[in-house]
Amino acid sequence: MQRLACFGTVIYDANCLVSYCFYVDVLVNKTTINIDRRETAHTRQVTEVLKANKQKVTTTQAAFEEVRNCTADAVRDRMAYRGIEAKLGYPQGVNVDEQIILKVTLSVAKKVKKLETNDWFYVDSTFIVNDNARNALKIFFSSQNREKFGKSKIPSEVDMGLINFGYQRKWPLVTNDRGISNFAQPLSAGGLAFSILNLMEIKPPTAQT
Amino acid sequence: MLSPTESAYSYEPKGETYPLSSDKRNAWLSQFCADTEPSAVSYQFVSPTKDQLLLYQGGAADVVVYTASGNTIMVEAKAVPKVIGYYVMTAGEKAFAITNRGEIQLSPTPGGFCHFVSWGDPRSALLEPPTKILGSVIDKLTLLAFEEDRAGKDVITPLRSLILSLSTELRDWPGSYNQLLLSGSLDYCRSVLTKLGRATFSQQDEVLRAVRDYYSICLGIVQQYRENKSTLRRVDLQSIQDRFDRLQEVCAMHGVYPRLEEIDIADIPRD
Repeated sequence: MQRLACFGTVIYDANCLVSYCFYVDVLVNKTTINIDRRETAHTRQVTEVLKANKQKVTTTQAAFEEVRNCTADAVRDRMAYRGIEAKLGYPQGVNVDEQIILKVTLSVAKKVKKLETNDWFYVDSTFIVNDNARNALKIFFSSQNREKFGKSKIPSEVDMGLINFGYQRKWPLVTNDRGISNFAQPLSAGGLAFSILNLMEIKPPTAQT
Repeated sequence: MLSPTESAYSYEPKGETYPLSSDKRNAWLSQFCADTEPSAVSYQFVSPTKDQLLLYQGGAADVVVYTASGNTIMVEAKAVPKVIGYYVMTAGEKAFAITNRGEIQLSPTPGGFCHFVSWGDPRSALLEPPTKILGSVIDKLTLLAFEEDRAGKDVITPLRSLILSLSTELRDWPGSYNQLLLSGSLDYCRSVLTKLGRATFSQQDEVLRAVRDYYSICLGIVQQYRENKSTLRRVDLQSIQDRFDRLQEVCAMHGVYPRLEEIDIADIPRD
């Protein structure tokens, strides 16, 4: 957490925003069941610390526009877990209804949209990605061994924009995406990124030893 | 032969293109045929948005046009041969072809296809969604025998089957918010129809119409992006989401099915 402490603003990628907002109540036989993401509690803890320190969270316009698709992917992924299916009363082998997946997605997307009403969060619509930097990032990522990305995809144009956003503004980029954070050091050493931190590796004060 | 009204456009026999003048950018052309018993059939074409409708006779049937003014056209096909055909054009958003045997809603999606919702006959599910807008008719729309009378007939099952089929198809499309919006909302519609089929509700027709209208819009989108599924994620479907919100309002208002926000998983009817 100290690595973020000296910055007035911290950049979140779309996935972090989704994790922050991913807590939804679903009724099952008149009982309220809360559905969240594994990263939700951690993301909220980290964000609460930032808020308490009067730090701001931001993202690019392009990343914010991707949030709805990111939400749909995250919800669909989460609802496919057997633990969640069971929690919602679905028998083994029966998938969660599409309408319930949509319900959860709409609820998360609504919360993400509402983020803009908070004074600690804003979408930076003034940022313009540097073309040379984007090309250099493309070359960098395409030259990496596919195994280094793990289960993650090769970063998209939006992701590259976020990396360049951090570099231009000199603000740290917080991401859940190993396809980005695994390359933090070489990107930084190559003058392509500022600071990139994996969300799950940031320890909020209560979790520090 | 082209009528004076048609002279701003031109059209050719089926299979060829129908160039339209650029000042009618929203105009669309649909063709359908009726495969009926050889007996008189009357059709009424209506544009609910009051846009002018034009009617071209596309077949050799003995068609009498009773009135052709403004947004309504009444036609009667006498001693109908096996197949009759019409071409209908409107600059507006939608039109209905209503017969004493059923009805068709012809709703264009901007830049895409008109689509066809038949009512009352399960065989209609086999119909080819037909019409190509903005100048070319690529397929014929066959109106198979409609039910003689909608009253008392099962109009829910065929629609439910169409919705299920579309929702299932969408689940195989590349994942995105829009893909989920369509497949999830159609799944909701399926549940609404199951509920409707199990009990009589006072405003059943209104709910049914709302579901049918919503389905026809979704079908239009699916047809538009079927050949290029991955682009669906970048399309702004806010108007569809708004329509879905209104559909939920109608269902909740009549006590048929709760809004998605208020739904209990136990409310979802199981087949």
